[in-house]
Amino acid sequence: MANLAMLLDLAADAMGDRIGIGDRDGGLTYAEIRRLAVAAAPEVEAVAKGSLAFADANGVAVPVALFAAAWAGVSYAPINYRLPAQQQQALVDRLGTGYLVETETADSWVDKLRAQAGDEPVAYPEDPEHPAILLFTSGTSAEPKAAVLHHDNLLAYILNAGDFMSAEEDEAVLMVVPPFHIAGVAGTLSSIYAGRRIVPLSRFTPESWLEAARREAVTHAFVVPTMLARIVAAMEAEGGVDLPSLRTLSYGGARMPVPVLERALELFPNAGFVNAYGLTETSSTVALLGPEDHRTALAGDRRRLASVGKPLPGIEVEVVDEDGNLVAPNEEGRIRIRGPQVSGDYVGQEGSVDTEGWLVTGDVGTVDEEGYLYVQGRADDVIIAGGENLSPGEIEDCLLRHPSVDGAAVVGVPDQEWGEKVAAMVTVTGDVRADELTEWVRQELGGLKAPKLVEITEELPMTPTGKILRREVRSKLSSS
Amino acid sequence: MSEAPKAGTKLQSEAGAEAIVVKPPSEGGLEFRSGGPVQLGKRYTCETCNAELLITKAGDAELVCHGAAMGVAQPKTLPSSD
Repeated sequence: MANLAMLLDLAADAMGDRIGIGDRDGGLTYAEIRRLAVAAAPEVEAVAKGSLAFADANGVAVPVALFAAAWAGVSYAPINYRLPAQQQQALVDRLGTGYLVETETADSWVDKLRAQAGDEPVAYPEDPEHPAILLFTSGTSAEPKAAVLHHDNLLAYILNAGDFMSAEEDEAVLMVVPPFHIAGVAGTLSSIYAGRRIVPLSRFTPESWLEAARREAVTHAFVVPTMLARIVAAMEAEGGVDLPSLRTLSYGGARMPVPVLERALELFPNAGFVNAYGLTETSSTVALLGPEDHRTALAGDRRRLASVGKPLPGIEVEVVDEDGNLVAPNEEGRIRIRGPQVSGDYVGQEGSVDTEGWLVTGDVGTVDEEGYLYVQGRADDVIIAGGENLSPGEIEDCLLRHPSVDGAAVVGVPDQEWGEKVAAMVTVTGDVRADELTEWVRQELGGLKAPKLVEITEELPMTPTGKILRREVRSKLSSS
Repeated sequence: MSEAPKAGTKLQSEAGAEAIVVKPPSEGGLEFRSGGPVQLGKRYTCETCNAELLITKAGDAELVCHGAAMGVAQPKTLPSSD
């Protein structure tokens, strides 16, 4: 009974002349984004067959496409534009869409809309026929699932998480996470609602990120952990970099290795750090660890730096045992989430929310005595060696503390004696031998956790946003 | 008394103000009346129940729930996370 188009309507009505996306001189205002979206909507509605597929990088076409779909009452379906053409086509075919905006055509599409756009206000459909967003998730199975997010889910998140026009006029957010990731979708919506100018970065390199951040005096940024690791390495190589405008640095999408976070906190002493935990299925953030908590942890008990913080108001996040009972503080259990922003629906298959509305995330976690949540990892990724449950994250963090290691993925591989044994794939910056790394871990965490197999490699298998593809790591190391 | 509107329902006032229900009231009686004005983009809450409405069109009106004019909600204190 609602449409996320409302967010752009509010922005265009209340602050129409404020730049919504792009540079301070040539960007699109909120009023202009609306004009372009509204101009595209009739054709989208006529031919889209339920969804508008978007296969391009971050840029001004993103909000135009997102809201054109909303005004047309069809789903916005961003897809990974970096996939080989055949794979992209397979996703487009699965959607059955009749409307595709892709890299080769995006600029001319926007230009054509500029020429067509009028000034007449156009009402968006109050009860759109199709769900708001379709996102292909990076699942563990070969075929990605198409997660469905409804208008109600996204609006529940956006309206709960912040205030309208909360951004000062000088605020700008550097958007580098791609449009087909939930953080890219949610970030676009929340930035428009807040009135915070989006500075799109179409391709991440640490140098281009730092350059854009400085040039546009960005005040906010969201990065995934692998990006932060590379930014930190680049800054350390330059002997520190001055980014006085940066007020908030948010991160999420995968586990943040604590050593990377510690280095980042030292390099950005004036920025507030925010760890945002959420899933595609939960319309992004359900829990966060805020700037104060980061500062307190850095100055005192650093264990808390590994926490994802506390649930947002109005959302239930619980850690439970197999019977659905809450576990005691610091005891491991399964993380489940319930609330209006949770969808758990997929195209063409059963939803993953149970009869009581809980989404079982598949993540294992703990809650400490003060209610701070810790995500240990996927239940499937826990290593069971010698009858003990071992968390890959702890061992990865240990490896990352070695001065020559800059990337680490730890998995269990089959072992006749132990069931599974710990194995690691690492990327290094200097000369180091596999047995030295085994010894390094043994010294810090003991024999059981020390990897029996360490493979040094050029690049770890990862998703576009830096989630380790453990299935691939496991398969490569199992055949070693 | 009319039924409590659900989340997502739009309310309109004669003065042109419009609001959308973010959190529904516990019972009926929610309506616009002359007064205000209400401001675009602000959320208004009821002291008695948990109702919360977002103003999507400003106007010379005020929102009433449980017999009293709804006040502007406290600003959110969450840091931005996206």
